[in-house]
Amino acid sequence: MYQLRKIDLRQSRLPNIHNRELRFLALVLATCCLIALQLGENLRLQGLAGSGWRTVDLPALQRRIDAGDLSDHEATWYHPATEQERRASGAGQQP
Amino acid sequence: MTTESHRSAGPTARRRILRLLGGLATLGLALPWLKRPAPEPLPPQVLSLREADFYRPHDLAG
Amino acid sequence: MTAVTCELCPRGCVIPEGGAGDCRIRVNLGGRLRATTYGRPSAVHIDPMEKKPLYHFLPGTPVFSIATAGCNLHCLNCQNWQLSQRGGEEMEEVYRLDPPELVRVAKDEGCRSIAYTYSDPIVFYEYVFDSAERAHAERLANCFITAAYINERPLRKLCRVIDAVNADLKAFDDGFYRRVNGATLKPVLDALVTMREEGVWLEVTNLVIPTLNDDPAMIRRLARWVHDELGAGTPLHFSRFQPQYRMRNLPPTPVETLDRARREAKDAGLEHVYVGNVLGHAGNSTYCPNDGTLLIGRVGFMITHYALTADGRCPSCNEPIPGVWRSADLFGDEP
Repeated sequence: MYQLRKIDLRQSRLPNIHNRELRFLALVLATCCLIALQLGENLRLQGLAGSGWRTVDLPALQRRIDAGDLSDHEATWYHPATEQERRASGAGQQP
Repeated sequence: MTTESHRSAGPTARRRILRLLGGLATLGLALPWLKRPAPEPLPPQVLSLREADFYRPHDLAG
Repeated sequence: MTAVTCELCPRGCVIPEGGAGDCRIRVNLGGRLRATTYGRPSAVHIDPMEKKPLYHFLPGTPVFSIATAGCNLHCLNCQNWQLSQRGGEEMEEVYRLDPPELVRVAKDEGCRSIAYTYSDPIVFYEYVFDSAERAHAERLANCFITAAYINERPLRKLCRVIDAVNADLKAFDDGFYRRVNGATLKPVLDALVTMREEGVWLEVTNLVIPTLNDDPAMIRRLARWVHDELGAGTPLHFSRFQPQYRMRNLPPTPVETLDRARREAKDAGLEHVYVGNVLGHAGNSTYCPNDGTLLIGRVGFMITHYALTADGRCPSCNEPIPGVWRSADLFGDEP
């Protein structure tokens, strides 16, 4: 006759995980957290920039202006943004 | 099947998976240092009007 | 840190310090908005006037054509995307061409007009305005090639120094403008009416894209609007689409579609309807709306036949043909 092995659940133990395995797990989780933070920051920046203004490579732009290859000629048709306009667009938040 | 083979298969497989994940995580953390920095963009070529050929063919519309 | 609100176009970008408007080239530096491509075009060419396309404005003359980087639209099918969808600091080539030198070079090269074109000259407004004023002083005309997504006040001021406009009317559908061009329809229609009121010479272009804006009913509505709001004599150009940029999945416009569009527009009462980007098409040429006489024959950008009288009339029935046919019509005879 084939005998089934009886398993007593009251006596079962947790899987035998060593300390070094716990450290590896922690490392994996830390990496995932870093990646998630980076992705989240990128999404936040893109969300801001999509609301009517764009980020620009400011050092490159300033270098070009200083060299005379681009201009800092003052534009017409603009005004200092009101508090309401700033809040509505989220432009108060810096990149 | 013996109970011995049941007992030894579990922990070894777990350790292999954890080592694999750990290796990938280490690689992920090391990537920023392994990646080459983006090259500095070339300054714009400031063209001289004296040498410009205004009649040269181009594919800009309008 | 002072944010600024740009008033030039309906986007009304609120730009924090260190940021740029949606057009990429109007930048907030130290709380002041800067036109960073002023006097710094990246495209400078001499083109035939027919390329703009302007068919009823100084025909057959060379026009000094410039553009800087940047644009306030983001059309999926933009042919000039390498110029329009970039900021000034991203361009590989730039000319130093401040307004006085621009006018001097255009005149020295024998051009009778300057065209602000290729990207959208709305975004380099200050450069256009200052150059256009000086051009007039030298008896050079100013042509403005645009998608017309601009607010009324800056447009009315600009119309004082602009002589001719070719404006895109991309579709008679707001949804199309939002999905394909990143803009809206109503400000464009308002701008076209403003241009008519200000008396600039106006021609309208519609790029016909298969499956997106080639519906005959939409074209009929578009043509009727042009007829009713801008006048029966307003030239309307139906241009053939070619796959470009982010719209490479669609085929070029069939010639039959353009023929049908032209028929719809003529049925709506428009007198001068053209077909563009189709070499050798009869719709390239200008005919008298009264008796059908061939007035200006064109193949591509070349004029092969010219029969208008000196005062812009049909030689056989004396019908006045709307347009600006000579510089003297703008500036008076040479002193």
